Amino acid sequence: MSTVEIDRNKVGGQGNNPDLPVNGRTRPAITAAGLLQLAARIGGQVVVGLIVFLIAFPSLFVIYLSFSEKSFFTFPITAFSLKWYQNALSGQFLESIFASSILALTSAIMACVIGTMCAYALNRYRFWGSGLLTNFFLAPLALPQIVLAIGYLILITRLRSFTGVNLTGTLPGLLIAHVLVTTPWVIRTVSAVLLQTDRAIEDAAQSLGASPRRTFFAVTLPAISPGIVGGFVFAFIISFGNFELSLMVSQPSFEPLPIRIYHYLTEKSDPGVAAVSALVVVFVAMATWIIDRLIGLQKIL
Amino acid sequence: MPNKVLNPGLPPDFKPEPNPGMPAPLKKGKQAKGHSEEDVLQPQQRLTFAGLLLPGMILFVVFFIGSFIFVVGYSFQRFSPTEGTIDGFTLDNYQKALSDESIHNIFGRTIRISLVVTGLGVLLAYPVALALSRIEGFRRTLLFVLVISPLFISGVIRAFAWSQAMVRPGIINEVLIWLGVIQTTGRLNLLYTEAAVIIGLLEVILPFIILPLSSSIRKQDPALASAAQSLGANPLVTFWRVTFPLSLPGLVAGTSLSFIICMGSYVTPDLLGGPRLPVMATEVYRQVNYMSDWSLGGALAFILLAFTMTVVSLYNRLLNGKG
Amino acid sequence: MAELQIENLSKYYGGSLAVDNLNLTVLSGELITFLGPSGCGKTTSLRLVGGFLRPNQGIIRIAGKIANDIPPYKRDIGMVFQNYALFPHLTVEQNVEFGLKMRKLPVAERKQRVADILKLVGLDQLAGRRPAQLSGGQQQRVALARALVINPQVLLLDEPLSNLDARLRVQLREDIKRLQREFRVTTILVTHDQDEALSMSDRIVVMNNGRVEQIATPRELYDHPATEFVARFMGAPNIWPGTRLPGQNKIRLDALDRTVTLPEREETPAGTEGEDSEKAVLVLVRSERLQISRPGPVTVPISTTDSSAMPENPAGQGSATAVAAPKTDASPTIGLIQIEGTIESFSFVGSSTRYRVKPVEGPPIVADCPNDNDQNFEVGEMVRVSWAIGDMRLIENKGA
Repeated sequence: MSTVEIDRNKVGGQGNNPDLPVNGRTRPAITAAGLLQLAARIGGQVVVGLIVFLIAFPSLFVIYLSFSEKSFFTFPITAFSLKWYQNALSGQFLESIFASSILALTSAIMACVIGTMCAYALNRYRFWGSGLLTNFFLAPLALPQIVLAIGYLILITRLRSFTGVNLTGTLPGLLIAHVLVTTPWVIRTVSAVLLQTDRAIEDAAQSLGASPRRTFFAVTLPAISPGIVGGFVFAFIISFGNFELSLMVSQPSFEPLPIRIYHYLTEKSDPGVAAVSALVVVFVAMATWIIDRLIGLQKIL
Repeated sequence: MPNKVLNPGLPPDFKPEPNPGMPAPLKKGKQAKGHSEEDVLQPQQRLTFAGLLLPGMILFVVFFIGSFIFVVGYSFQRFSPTEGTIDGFTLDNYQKALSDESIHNIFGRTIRISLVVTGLGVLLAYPVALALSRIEGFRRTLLFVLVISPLFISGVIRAFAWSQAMVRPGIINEVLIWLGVIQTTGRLNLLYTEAAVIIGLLEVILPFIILPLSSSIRKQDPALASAAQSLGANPLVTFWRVTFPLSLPGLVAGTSLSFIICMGSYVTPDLLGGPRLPVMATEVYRQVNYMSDWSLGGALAFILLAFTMTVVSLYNRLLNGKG
Repeated sequence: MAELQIENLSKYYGGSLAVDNLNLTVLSGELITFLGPSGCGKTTSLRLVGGFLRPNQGIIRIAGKIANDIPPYKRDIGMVFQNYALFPHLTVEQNVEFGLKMRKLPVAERKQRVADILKLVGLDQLAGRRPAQLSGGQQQRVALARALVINPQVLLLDEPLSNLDARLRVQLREDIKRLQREFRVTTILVTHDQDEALSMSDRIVVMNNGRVEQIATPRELYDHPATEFVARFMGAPNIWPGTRLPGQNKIRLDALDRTVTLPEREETPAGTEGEDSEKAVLVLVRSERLQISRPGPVTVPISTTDSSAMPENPAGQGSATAVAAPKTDASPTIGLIQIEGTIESFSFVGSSTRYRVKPVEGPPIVADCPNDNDQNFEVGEMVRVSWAIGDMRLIENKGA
C-alpha cells in the first residue's frame, strides 16, 4: 500500500512533465483509487490462493500423511519416518503398481495408435458427418463413467457365455475398457496439434515429390509428434488413475492400484496408503509438467 | 447431443478454417454435391480415410455402443435371484426404480449434491479463471499445473485424503480450533455427511469448470475490457457487462461437465458419504455387485444417463440460445 | 522449363463454380500472374495446376503431356506457399534438400546443389538453422530455394509475399523475378496485390468469380482495362457512366453532363461497333492523367459538340467547360475536357497529392497531382480539372 503511494508521489513529484495533471489536484484521487485497487488485488490474490489450496489440498495432505511414523493416522504427525514407503513398494501395493503400469503403458500405446489415426482422418478428410463422428469418439469423456462401466461388465460377461472369450477380470478385458476411455484424450491432443500444423507443409512435401505415405511419415508425423507424446502421457495417467471401469472389471489376480487402494481402505487405513498415494501424486505432477512443456496444456484442455 | 458438452474445454472453433479462396456464392445451378471442398473425397482418399478410422470404429462400435445396448437391453428384462436374467420384455425394473421410496431419496440426493456442487463450483471457479487469464509466464504455468494436476490423480486417493482430513481429530477440526471457530469439545463430525461429499466433489470438479472458463475469458480481446472502462464502466460493471456474458460458452461447457461428473461419481460419495448416504452410482454398483440384480442396475444406470443428458442438453439449448 | 496449357478448365465446389472455363497458355519461361480478390478462383486454379485438386472439366498440359491424372508428387512442380510451409522439424539445409532426396539424387550432388542455391538466395550462412529461427523474409527465401532446387517444370507461387511487411515485399519481388529469369522457369504467381502483379508479371490474368476478366501484359492491363471490374481492381477512381450515341463517334458523359467526340483511333469496346442504337458505356480516366489548375480565362474557344448542358450551369460557379477539338482536327489528343469544381479533400502521399474535386454536378473527380511544383490547393478552393480526350477509355457497361 505504502509502496504504491510512494510510486505515485515519485511520478507526481518529478512534475517536469507538462502532460501530467497538476500534482496537488490529482493526488488524493489517485491514492484513493490506488488503495481500493490494491485492496481488491490483494483480496483477489488471497481468494485465488485459498481456492487453489482447496484444489491442491488432498494431494499435498496425502504427502504429509505418508511421513507418519505410527501405524494409524494422527494429526498433527509427531514422529516422522519413511518406513511406509517401504511398505508401499512391497507386497500387494507393488504388485498393483506393476499391474497399473503395464495396463497404462499398453493402453496408452494402443490409444496413441488408434487415436492418432482417427484424429488424422477426422481432421484431414472433412465430410458432412465428420463433426458428428468426432463427437462420437469424444463421447466417453462426457458420460457418467458408471453407466459405461456396468454396460461393459454386462457386455463382456455375455461375450463369455456366448463365445467363450473370457475378458472378465483379465488384462485384455481391462485393456479394452481403458483404451476406450483413453483414446478420446489422444484424439483431442493430436487434433489440437493437427489444427495448429499448417496443412501446406503436406502439400509442400507432395510438390517436392513425396508420395502421400512418405509425406505422412517424413513430414506430418514429425510435426505432430509433440501431440502424440502428449496424448501418450495423458492416456497413461488417465489409465493409471481410472477407477469406475477398473472396479467393475478387475479381479484380485490383476488389480490396478486405485482398486487396490480402495479395497485396502475398506479393511484398514494406515499411512501405507498415504505413501503409495504420495508416490502417485508426485508422478502425476511431474507428468503434467512434462506435457505442459511439450505442447502447452491450455491448448488441449 | 450438444457439441459443447462433448468437447469440454475445446474452443468452439474446433473445426478447420475454411479454405482460403473458397468459391464465391453459387453462380451456376449445378447439382449440389455437398457443402465444401473436402466433401468430395477421391476414391483413393476414401479408402485411406476408412482405413484410418477402422480400428477406432471397431473398438467404439463393439465396446462402446455395445455397452449401451446391453445396459438398455438388460434394463428391460426380468431378473430372478435363482435364474438370473430372463429374456422377455418388461418394464418392471423401471416401475420398481421409479416407485421405490429409497431410490427416490437416492436420486434426489444425487441431484441435490450435483446442483449444489456445480453452483458452488461456479463461484469458486471465476476468481481462479480470471487470475489464469490475467497472469503470464512462470506464475501462470505454476497456477495452471496446480489447478489441473489433481485432475489426473485418482479419485480414490483424493477422497481418501479428504476423509483423513475430516475425521474428528483431523486437520480440519484442528485448524478450526486454532482459528477459534470451534471449541476443543465441539469437534465437528464432518465425515459421512453430505457436506463432506460436497467438499470432496467440489475439489474434483473445480478444474473442469476453471479450464473452459479461463480459455473463454482468455480468448476475449483484452481491448474489450479496456474499451468498456474507457467508456466509463468500473471494473465490476465491466466484468458483469462484458467479461461475464462473453465467458458464457465456457461456463456452460464447464458446468455441464461438472454436473455430468457429479451425477455419475462413485468413489467420492462412497468414501466421504459412507453407506448411509448412497447416490445413484453407488446404488447401481450395489445392485450389480452385491444384489446381482443387473436388470435393476441397468435400469438405474439408464435413468441416470437419460436424466443427466436431458438436463444438460436443455441447459445448453437454453443458454446457447440466448448467447 | 516447359509450356503449360490449360484448356476449358472448370472446378465446382458443391454447387458453386470456383473456376469457370479457364483457357490459358503459359509460354516456357514466362511469369504469369493470377490476379483477383479473394474467392475469385485464382488459388483454386493454382491448386488445379499443382494437382492438389482435380478439375471437373478441362485439360492441363505440362510440356505437351496431359497432367490431369498425375498426382502432385509426380507432376514435377515447385510450389511456394503463403505461410512458407517450411518443415518445422528440419533445418534450412534439410528443407531445401527434401525434394532432391525424394528424387533419390546421390548425396554429393544433393549437397552441392543445396549449397549453390542457398548461396544464390543469400542464406548460406543460415543453413543449419530451423525455420522458427528465421525471419519471415528469410523463411520465404528458403521456401523459394526449396522449390527451385529441384528444377521444376512449373513454379507455382501462392501469395508468396502477402505475409511480409511492405518494404520487404518490394525487395523480395525483385529477388523472385531475378531468380525466375535466371532459372527460366515457367511460373504462375497468385496474388491479390495489383502492384505486385504489375511489377513482376510478363502477363496478368485478372479473375473474378471464377472467370477470366482479361489476360494482358501489365501495361496493356493498366492502360486498357477490358472490363469495369478490371478497371476498378486496378484502382481507377474515375469511372463514369456514359452513352455512346448512335452512328457517331460521340460519347455523352451522363454523370458530368458533357458530350465529347472521341478521337478516331480510340478502339470501340467489344460489342458496340456498328450499332445504330444508343449504347451504355463506362468512361474511365486515370487519376494521374488529370491536371488541376486555378481557373483563369479560358484560352481555347468553347467548341462543344453538344451545348445543351451549357445553359444549366451558371457561369463562374463551378461551371464545366468541355473543350473538344473540332471534328475535323487531325490530332485529337490535344482536345481537352475542363471541368470546374471545388476541392473537397486531399491527401498527401509523398510523390503526389490526391485531390477530390466536387464539380457542381456529378460525382467527385479524383486527381493525382505530382508534387514537383509548388502548386498546392486548399479545401474549398475553386479549381479547374482538365484532361485530354485521348486519355479517356471506354468500357462496355455490362451493368446497364
